[in-house]
Amino acid sequence: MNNEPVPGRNARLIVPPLVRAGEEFQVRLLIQHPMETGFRRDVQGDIIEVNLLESLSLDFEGQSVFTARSMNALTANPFLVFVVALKQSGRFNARWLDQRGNAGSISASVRVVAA
Amino acid sequence: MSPHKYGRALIASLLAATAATGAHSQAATSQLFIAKSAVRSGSTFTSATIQAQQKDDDLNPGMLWVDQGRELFAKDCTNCHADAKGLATKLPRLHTDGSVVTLEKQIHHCQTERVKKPAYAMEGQPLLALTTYLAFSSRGLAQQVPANITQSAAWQRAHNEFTRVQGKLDFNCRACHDQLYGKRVRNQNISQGYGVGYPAYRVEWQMLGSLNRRLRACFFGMETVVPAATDPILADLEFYLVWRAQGLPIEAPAVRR
Repeated sequence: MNNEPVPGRNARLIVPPLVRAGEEFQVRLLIQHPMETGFRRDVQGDIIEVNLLESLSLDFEGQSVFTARSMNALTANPFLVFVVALKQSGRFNARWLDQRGNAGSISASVRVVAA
Repeated sequence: MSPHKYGRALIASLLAATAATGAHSQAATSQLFIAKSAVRSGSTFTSATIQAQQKDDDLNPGMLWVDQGRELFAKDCTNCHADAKGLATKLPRLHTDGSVVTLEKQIHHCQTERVKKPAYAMEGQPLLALTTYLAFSSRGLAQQVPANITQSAAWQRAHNEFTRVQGKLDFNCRACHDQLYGKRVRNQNISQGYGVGYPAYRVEWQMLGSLNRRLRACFFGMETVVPAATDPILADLEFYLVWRAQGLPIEAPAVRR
């Protein structure tokens, strides 16, 4: 379909706006992606080409929090939760890349107050 | 007549008598099987995990479509509609020609007549995003039911379909959703079947889908002829389900297994 969006372009990165220094909190990442396994067929009976998210990463102000190579056991529209504690305010940045070369990214800021 | 056959005939006539009394009292209470106080939304029949996922917008994957729909609405719809709130409660509605206008059909009409753009494909990502955003914007509100709905031809068509015994398994919609809700079939809980959570994210589909698609899945499950997505009977049924829901609030995007 011509007006279909690029897979992986749409995502949500959810963080609490305000946290205490050293306090654990959740960073939640939800990516809209079909995670095509390459085993499914379309209505014409043709195999839908495999298209999985290849790499996934989350960093905080350039410092890596999480990196992964994902495979076909990961669900469509993957949802990932990271437990993090911070010393100072900053910005989380998540990036991913699928097998068709569609790259996506999203970022969100957290303000840290003294404990 | 053997005693066995005689017994069977007796049971048949008793059943016929019960059915006749049932039909009489139904006509008096406007054909609704489930009392308003007993009406429960589909999500109350799902597991605690699924319910938690639906209630928390951070966890609900349907919110991805809501985000996209919000953008599309801001781009194309705000010339006529200042606010998306409540728009979805007016649909599906009756057209003057007696057919039913669903939310999807209304959007297609707006696109071709007002926005002057080609209409989005059925079950395509942009249409799903827009319908989900509109339903989400009317969350907590009840859909409007026209007065004297039971006198409309659309209601009658849908009612006939809802109560018609069909398919290999020999049952109708009513057998499950009016009489056996709360029980299980094929390892799934049977709901009362209102569709107030649609468009919903179904894990089985790995994506969000419309009530139209869900209804077709019902026909498939009944092992009967599955109507085409454009079949007007599906629009009639959507209209009928709103009447059946008796003011149950919209809770889209719901999450289903």
